[in-house]
Amino acid sequence: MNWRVLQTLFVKEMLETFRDRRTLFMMIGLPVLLYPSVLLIGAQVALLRQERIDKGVSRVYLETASLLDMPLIRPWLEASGKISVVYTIMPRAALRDGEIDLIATVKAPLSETFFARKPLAVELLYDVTEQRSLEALDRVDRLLKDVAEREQRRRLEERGIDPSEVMPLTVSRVDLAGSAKVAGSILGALLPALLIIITALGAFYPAVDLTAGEKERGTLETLLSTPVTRSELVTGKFLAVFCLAMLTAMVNLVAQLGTMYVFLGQVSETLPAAFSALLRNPLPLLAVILAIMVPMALLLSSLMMAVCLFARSFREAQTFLTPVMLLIAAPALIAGMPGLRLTPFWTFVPVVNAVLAFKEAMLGGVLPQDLFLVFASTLAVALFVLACAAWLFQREEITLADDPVLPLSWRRDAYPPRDFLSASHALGIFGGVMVLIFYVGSLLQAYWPLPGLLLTEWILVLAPVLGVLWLVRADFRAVLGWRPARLSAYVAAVFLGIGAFLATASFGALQERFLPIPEAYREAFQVFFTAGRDPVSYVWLFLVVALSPALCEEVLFRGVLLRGFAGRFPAWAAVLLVSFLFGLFHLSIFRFLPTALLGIPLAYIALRSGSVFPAMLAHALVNALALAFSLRIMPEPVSLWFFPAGPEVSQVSLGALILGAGLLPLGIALLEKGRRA
Amino acid sequence: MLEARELGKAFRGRGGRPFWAARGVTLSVRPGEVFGLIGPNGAGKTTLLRMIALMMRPDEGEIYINGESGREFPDRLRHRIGFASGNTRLYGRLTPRETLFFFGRLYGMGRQEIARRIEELTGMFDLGPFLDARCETLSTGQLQRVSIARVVLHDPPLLVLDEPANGLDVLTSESLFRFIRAAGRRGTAVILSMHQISAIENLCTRVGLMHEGILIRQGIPAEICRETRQPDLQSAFIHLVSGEDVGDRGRRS
Repeated sequence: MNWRVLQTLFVKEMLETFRDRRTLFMMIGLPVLLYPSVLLIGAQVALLRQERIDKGVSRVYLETASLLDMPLIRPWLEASGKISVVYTIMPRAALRDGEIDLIATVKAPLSETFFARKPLAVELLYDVTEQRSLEALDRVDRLLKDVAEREQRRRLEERGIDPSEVMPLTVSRVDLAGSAKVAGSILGALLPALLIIITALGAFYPAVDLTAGEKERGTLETLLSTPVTRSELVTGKFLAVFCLAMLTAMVNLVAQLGTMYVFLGQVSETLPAAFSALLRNPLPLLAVILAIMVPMALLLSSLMMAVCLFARSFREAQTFLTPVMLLIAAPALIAGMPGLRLTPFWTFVPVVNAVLAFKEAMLGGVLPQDLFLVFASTLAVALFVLACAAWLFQREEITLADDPVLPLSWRRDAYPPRDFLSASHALGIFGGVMVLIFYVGSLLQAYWPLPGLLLTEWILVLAPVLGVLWLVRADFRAVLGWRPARLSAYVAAVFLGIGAFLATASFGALQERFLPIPEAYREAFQVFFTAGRDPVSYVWLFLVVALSPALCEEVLFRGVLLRGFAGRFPAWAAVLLVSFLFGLFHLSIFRFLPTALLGIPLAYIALRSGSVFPAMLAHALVNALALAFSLRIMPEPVSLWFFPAGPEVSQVSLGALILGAGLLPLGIALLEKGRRA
Repeated sequence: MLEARELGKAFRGRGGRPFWAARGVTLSVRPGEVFGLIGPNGAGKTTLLRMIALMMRPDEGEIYINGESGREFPDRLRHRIGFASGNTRLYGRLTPRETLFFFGRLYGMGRQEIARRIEELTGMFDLGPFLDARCETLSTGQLQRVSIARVVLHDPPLLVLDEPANGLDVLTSESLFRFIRAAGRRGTAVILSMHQISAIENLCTRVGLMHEGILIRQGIPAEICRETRQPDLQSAFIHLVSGEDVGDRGRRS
């Protein structure tokens, strides 16, 4: 690595970037104009709502055991002027619908309790998801406690006892940190995700411009003809992308904090004070931001460059980066999960660790040791990705290839018949399906679990894929592997299917140790199994849960994606990439690893047999086995032999593990033998 | 200067089967010699020239530049080569002076050395009027002159030019040919490919005919014509590829 060469490359990239008005505007101008305004509007709406709640009157439904008590208790509540007692016919429904904010139930008549010197029980019903309801709860709770304390004092004095003697402790609430906390919580919720997204946006444009852009403008070949080594080339470009990403991120950060500081004063008096408190001693905050942003920028720059290297044009690079952006935005959601803290496990998960470290810092301080680990592990991943990028640059088919561009048209006759889909087109189809599932599929399944799943698979996965293939006049046999396989391939698929089922089950048990599935998530799945216990329901269930996903998902993953990738990448890389996307497809962090793992044998089967059908068989078998064990259709001894602790625990017995370990090589041998024949 | 032995390069075909873009190519170019490659589109000329310029690793065979094997240190050996093709374009947002400076640094030249060389080249190719204008504002002819200055900046003993006259008008092509002839006279070894067979005939001391990845014939243009009993190189080429005797027809058209 020659430092002078690196410096020369770096200076040239910077010079070129800063001379391009379009790049400058996309990198700095647009975010500076756009994001603060989005932030501003969002914050204003949130704050206005908060204020309306503060100033508003809580509507409380009061229920007393005796009608006579009503005029006595009502003044207790309405004394503050912030509560109005309202009447409604169905209070619980009204509370659910947000027509009232709280139901207060006095369990027994005052004459038997309060006035008879016995404890009076008051029950407060509220809705934790409604800010107004929580506010009402707080108000009523305080008022009732005041009444209780006054009465206690009165009774003690009546007996001639000094209240301070029997009240060893008095608690008074003084909200000192109020405003700072509001600022902290807003920043804590907003900043980590914001920081990562702006860093990603900062890296996005330079990464595309310096790789695919250079290829498109035809200057890459000029560069490749010089004595510069490929590693020097990648490193020089990477340094430039990194610096531009950091620069953009910094400009954005300053602009955003500035906007918050200046404009929030119009809607709140407390926030600016809190900010200036924060800005007066910004060093800890800055240290955290830098400790997180620098390795994040390193990682994102190298990742995006590596991805863009595959692209042959500007537009293709942007398509390739879209799933990467999704991948980066997802951790922001994960970190939003309540109760998720920076444990040793999460410290080593890139992006997630940065968000969690930031959250810790906002919650009261992150240990320098943890911060260092986050920094170091992110750096390690970044260097690994950079090495991958340098390796990719060595490959001539990536740096020197030229591929014809597909026309974009709705008319079928614009496309010549083809027996080949490129990796980028396959990826485009995957992206489209993901968008459909994300916005339509999840909605369908939420309202209508089983039919929703069926519709998702057939209408949102299978139909669009086949539709696009029909439109571009692709040969189904070639681009999907839609052709019969040898008998031995189906036998191998059965062996590998059973083996893969046992392997994923054991992996699930392993994963449970470091990433336990929350109860609520588990319950969501129970809905499948609450169907009737008659044969018709079972057949229906097997069709929807086992058979139809196998058919539809195989067409997309082990068909279009696998064959598309296999044309561009080595076979092993195509298998891994497809499996990774298959894991992503399930849209759940808990199912990501098991499903990605399952994708590997399925892709292997499809690739070796040359057909998608054996993969469908194996996939259906895995799903059917999982379903049969969960429904307890299997005879008890069989079930216990496989899962001694019950199928829910998915702890596979030693015997079953040996069976699986035997079936896998058997299936592989069958496929390899069939391939040679 | 340049020795290629049994060079071959395979790409992954559609069905996963290897597709040989070039195979078994053996040729040598001595200092002062101008070697021209002709052949139809897809004959493997670009692949061959990229291997010779050490930008692409051959799957078979060996390359020697000045007796040094191109297998061992291809990055260092590229110092000896000046490469240009239709795809070696210039950075639009840099000026010719900056472009030359940038490439000079990549070729390991010192600042003063580059400045001196830029002055020489400016005189040689008349770059003066647009030396400090951005390349995106230059005309095709001006760009071509900057491109050539870029190729010979580090004074390489071997020039590899892939379709250097593509997209050039008659005048600009003529000045390019003059430069190539002059380079040959100064002792530079040149290997180039070109579509205009007539130009190649006048320019090159030796030619090679490529077809479907194979160098089917090489030699002095006049000899090839005599052996194939054709009046010119173009007819000789068509004769060799199709076995058709097109001599007279070729002459008339």
